[in-house]
Amino acid sequence: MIKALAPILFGALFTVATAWAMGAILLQRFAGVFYKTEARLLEFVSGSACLSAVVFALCIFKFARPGVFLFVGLASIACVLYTKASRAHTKTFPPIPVLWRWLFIAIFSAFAVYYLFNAMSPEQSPDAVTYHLGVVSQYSRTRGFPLITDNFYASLSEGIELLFLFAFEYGRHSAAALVHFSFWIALPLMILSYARRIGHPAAGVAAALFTALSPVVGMDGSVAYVDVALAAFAFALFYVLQIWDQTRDNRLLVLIGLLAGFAYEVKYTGGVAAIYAVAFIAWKSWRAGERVWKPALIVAVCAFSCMAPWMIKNIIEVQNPVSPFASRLFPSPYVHTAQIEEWSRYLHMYEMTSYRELPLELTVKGMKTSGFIGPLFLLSPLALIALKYREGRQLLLAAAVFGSTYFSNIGARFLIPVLPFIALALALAIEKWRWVLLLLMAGHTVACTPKVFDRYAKASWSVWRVSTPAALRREDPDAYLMRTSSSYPVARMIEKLVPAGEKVFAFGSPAQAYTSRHIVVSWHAGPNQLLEDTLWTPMTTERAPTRILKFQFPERLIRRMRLVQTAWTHEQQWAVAELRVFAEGREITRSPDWQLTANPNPWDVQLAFDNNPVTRWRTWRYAEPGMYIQVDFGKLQPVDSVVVETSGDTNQARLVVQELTQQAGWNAINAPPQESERPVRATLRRAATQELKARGIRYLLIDDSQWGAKDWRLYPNAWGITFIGETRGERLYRIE
Amino acid sequence: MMLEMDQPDLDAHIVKDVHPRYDTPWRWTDSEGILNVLAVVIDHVKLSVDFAIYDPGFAQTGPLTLEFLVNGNSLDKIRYDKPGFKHFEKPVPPEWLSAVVESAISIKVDKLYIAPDDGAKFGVILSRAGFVQ
Repeated sequence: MIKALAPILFGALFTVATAWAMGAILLQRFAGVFYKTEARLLEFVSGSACLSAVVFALCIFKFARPGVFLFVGLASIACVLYTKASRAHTKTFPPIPVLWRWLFIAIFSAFAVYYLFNAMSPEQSPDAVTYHLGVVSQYSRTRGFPLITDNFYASLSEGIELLFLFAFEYGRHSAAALVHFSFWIALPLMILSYARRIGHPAAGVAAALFTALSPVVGMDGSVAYVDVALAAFAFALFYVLQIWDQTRDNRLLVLIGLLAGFAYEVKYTGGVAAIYAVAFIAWKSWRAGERVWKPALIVAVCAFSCMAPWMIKNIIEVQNPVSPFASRLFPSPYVHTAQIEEWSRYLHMYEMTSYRELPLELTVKGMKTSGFIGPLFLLSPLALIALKYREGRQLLLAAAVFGSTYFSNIGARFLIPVLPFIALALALAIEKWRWVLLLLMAGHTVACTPKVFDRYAKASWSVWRVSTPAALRREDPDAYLMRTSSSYPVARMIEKLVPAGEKVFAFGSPAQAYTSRHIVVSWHAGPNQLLEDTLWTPMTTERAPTRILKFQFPERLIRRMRLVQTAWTHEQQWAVAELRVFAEGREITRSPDWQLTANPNPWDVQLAFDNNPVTRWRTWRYAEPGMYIQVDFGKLQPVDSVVVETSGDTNQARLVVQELTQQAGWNAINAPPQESERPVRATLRRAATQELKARGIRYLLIDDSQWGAKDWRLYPNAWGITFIGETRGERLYRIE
Repeated sequence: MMLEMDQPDLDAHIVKDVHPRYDTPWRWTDSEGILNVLAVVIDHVKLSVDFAIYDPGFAQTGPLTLEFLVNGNSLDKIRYDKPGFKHFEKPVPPEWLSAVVESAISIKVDKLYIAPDDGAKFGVILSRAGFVQ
């Protein structure tokens, strides 16, 4: 047991200690500004940002190795011990009233132990094993950042994932989860600490418990996610901004910039932190009649210097600084606009039919919002009473700022960064009625106990139970995960049956953190979606290239021609399977001298000229007038007809052929299309799998519940695939 | 693509009127057995069916007329005057088929054999059905 637990605990504790040491070095220059307790917490949080930056630099140069990490950690800790940086802060808060102190210790400790055991359990939470740790395990194998263009999750900012990597090198998945758990510990302590600073310790105790005990906070904070860490950075930023407002110590501006910038590094939605910090500094300076630009600029520059490396990395790798978002502004082959817009639409509503369901889903049910924050937060409107206090107004302002991004994804965990502010404002509003506050604490504690919420929120994403034998490694982690996880056995099957170096195409995402094989998930990138389209074409008549549009006109000499789409379509893309040009009844042989382009999606234009019936050029956006495919013949070419092979799922598109003339520019050729149907005469299935093979993919993972799964199962010969394994309803095929 | 009546995934191809398998490599049909089969290619394809007319059943029903259909189009109607093993094979017009989605093969039997013991009804004994080139 000890042997198995030691690397996990070492990985986590060493990461936390290194982060804390870096923070202590950073904060030692603020002697006299911070109280001792808050300094410890802010040291850990700000040091995490520093450690993440160091790991980022090491990843660039492929130095992300356990030995290097050990050196970085030991050097940081030694530096703190040598400089006595940790002793820079000597001021102490007045003690917390006894009743509140012991209430806090008793309740918080009980939940901390429970969630600690969850964090120590073999990691199996969905986003952690697919991408938070999926990319971390990839970085670990390659000792740094590999070029990943087929998984847009790898383009998200990964500040916390780099801390996970530091821990992962020693203690693997559970060590990473424990690192995130350390933020679960730090966040309520920061809330309490801030409340003590403003002279409201009882409200602080209540708010800390309101936040930490919230089921979605406990769940998220005890797995390798990042939302609780984001909340910790958001609150730390608020905290330091309030201290700056009190002290006007401009040395804090660098720290403020660091915390604000790192919030973006934790998660894109944390980008509002930088705007908040700059606006706060500018507003307060202006109100005080001080210089506005200099302090605001310092914060902005510091914040941007944290954010910029991730943006630059994305520009280099996927041509979009904020990939996968803003794909209309930064088009690239790696992310399709339609894909992201459809995904975003889903995230706006999840499975809900109306936002009227949201309050109860968020606070009590948690089924349609992937978790719930607890019934107590139905009282959130009471927090508005706190508007009468300055601190309350600041808290509610911060809640509004960090809540402003919530509707981009209405999952309960996206509300976690807001909870500390709401919780403290609510506690401040009620604080003078101590018995009410105690009653709410008691009610919240009971409501957030697993055995209780099991009765009213059965289907939510929460920690229902913890397996102590698994957490303490009395049960073999492999056996535990095989028994309890649906995605782990699939990952292990892939590891066992797929040779090293091979790629697996999958429609769903298996536990990528538990396999070293490269998984290409259909919806994780533009090129993957193209393969998905290729695989679906043989099974759906609407996608098959059966619609023929022929544009016949008197022969003319053309150097450049375009096929232009002229209609606004209702949620339909335009696609061309094949574009053929004829003269005197014969197809003009395609020449390497032809220059092909398209708007949008110029990267795939070749697919309309490849004689492959299962591939097609698509707009990957809903069709709009002006979209085109262009052919430059490189010389004057006699042409008398153009044939477009397309499919039924683009029937709203309206097309014209245009030629470029010296006199009139692009000029439409008067040739209305003659439409006809042509059946598919040969199986497209084998052509589809051969296309995947040509793109380096030799394995397919297909879930039995996946649309079309039956076809692969029934017609392996037609597809040219061999069934090689099955587990948990996922079948693995090899392309022959 | 031929379907063997003893292949493990056959149930996924059955649309109607094909009995479960009883430890035999063949299956009974009812009045209109329908199976979904992929044609793979649509040019120069023949419908091929191996089946048998049950001796004791024939004694009861007399000659049977079987109609073979592809996607609802009647390919042929044949009267069988003797029991025993039969093989049907006939080219299918390509316009009836699709290489993209499965085609429905139907075998209609005009008279059903009624088992004297329990009154259960049976058509013909099917061994293989599908498309060949």
